[in-house]
Amino acid sequence: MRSMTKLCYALFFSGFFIASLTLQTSATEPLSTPDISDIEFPEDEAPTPAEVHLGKLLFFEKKLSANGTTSCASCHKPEQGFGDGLKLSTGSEGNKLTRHTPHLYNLAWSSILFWDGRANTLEQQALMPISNPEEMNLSEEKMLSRIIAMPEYQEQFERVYHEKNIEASLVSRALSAFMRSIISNNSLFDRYLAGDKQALSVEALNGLKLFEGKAKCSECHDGPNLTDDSFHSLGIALSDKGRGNIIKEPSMYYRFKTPGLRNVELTAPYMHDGSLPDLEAVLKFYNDGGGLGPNKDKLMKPLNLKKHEIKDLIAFLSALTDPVIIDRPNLPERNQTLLESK
Amino acid sequence: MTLRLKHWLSSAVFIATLGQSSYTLAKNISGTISFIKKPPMVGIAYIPSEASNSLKAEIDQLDKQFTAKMVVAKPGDSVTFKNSDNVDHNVFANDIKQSAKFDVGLMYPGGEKQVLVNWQENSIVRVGCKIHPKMRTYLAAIDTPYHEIIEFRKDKKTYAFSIADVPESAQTLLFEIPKYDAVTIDLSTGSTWTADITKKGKLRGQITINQK
Repeated sequence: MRSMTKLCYALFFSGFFIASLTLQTSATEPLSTPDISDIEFPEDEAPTPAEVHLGKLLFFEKKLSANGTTSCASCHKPEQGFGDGLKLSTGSEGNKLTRHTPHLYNLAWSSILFWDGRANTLEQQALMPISNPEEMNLSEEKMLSRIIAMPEYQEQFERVYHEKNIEASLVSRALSAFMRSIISNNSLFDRYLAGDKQALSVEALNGLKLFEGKAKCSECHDGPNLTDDSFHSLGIALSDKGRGNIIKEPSMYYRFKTPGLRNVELTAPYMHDGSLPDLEAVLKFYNDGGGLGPNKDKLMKPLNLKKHEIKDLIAFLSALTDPVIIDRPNLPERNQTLLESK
Repeated sequence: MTLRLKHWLSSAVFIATLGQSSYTLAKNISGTISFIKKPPMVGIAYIPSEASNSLKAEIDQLDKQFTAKMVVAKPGDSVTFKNSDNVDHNVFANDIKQSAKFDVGLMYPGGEKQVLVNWQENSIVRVGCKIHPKMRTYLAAIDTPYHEIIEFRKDKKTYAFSIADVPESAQTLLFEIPKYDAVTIDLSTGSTWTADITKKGKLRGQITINQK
């Protein structure tokens, strides 16, 4: 009878445990390798290499800023994790911006762009920094007249889009095609997922368990790109209302988009304001339960991680590294008069 | 008395015959959909009719997903959004072309909100969540009981569907996929039809319809 009772308890508690486990993990998408077939290309067609190349030239083109000093690559430097290593981004006039430059890895799968999610597609996003007076400060009209004045672009646009008229939508398409090609999907973690059980060190493996368990990272950093594409307040922002400003919803004040963690060790500093210099600082921040700012997410609670657990988590995060090498194109030296063209 | 019985019997036979003949006035429609490449998310086949759709439209949210990829909502009725998740949601739509714009505001876990379907009839509107941009579902503002929603998967290219007890008088079948060109099939002659599925004019697959 006693053993029967024990069995009932065991069944009850194991059932409870399984139910709890399911509840805990059910809301998160499993960590996995990004699937190319999941990319929603415009018109369902992957870009041609020629379109990606044209987008790359435009990405590095400094004439897309009013004073001809800044290209997209000035802040999104391929050698620095497609960031700039600075706490806050810098405008083309040397002015400090209010947020940190986000990385560009695996945006092909992203459902929303910018820290505050003000663009839904790369095509929407691509021209916004160019025309933003605080960033590259070049009107759409001037951007087009400058591109049209450069014969090599005329030729490329015609070859790629079979259009004689270069329109802003085509510039945006080309830039987006290039950004969609910045794909990182062959890290040690991906090799581990593919069946190579030796790919992760003991520390990284333990870090993975912590990431999905005690440290609760995967509550928000889930799915193939380790982001829920949602918006959270970590208690950092004090005046920048982030997503709340975009959708005019007070409950979303001070919330910012969860960044994907592919190549995270290359993209320091961290957070929307670049306030945390390295991964150790990030994990200490989370371990302490986040900042003291308003509207802090309920998930932000002290984690009681031990020092060796923090190291293991960093080992796992480092196993997400698969750099994307982009050779800077040799753009022809421009005549200064080009900047003065309408 | 005998006469009355005879009269009753003949009436009963007439009613039975009528019942049988009205039954034979219905037909079953079946179809096959095949895609050349990766299928889209969802589609709907429907037959416009004067009969009304009596089902109440309801969409739930669980595990940061809508529980259905598409729901049919009768124009003029309300659609109910539920939140059975353990996180907040904020359901919205903003489809200028179909005059469909709504924002239910913040929905706490366990919350429920209703939205009046007061936009363009026979339209399909995308619905999302402002907090979780990965979430997506579609509302089909269609008033007919003769419809079938077909949810597609990325690893399967061929699908079958059927719509039962369609009135014999049905003239048209429509097949729609969000962002694709609508397919209209004339059912008035023949018993088998095949049409291309296209997106902005580009061939994406085929639909074949049979009626019995």
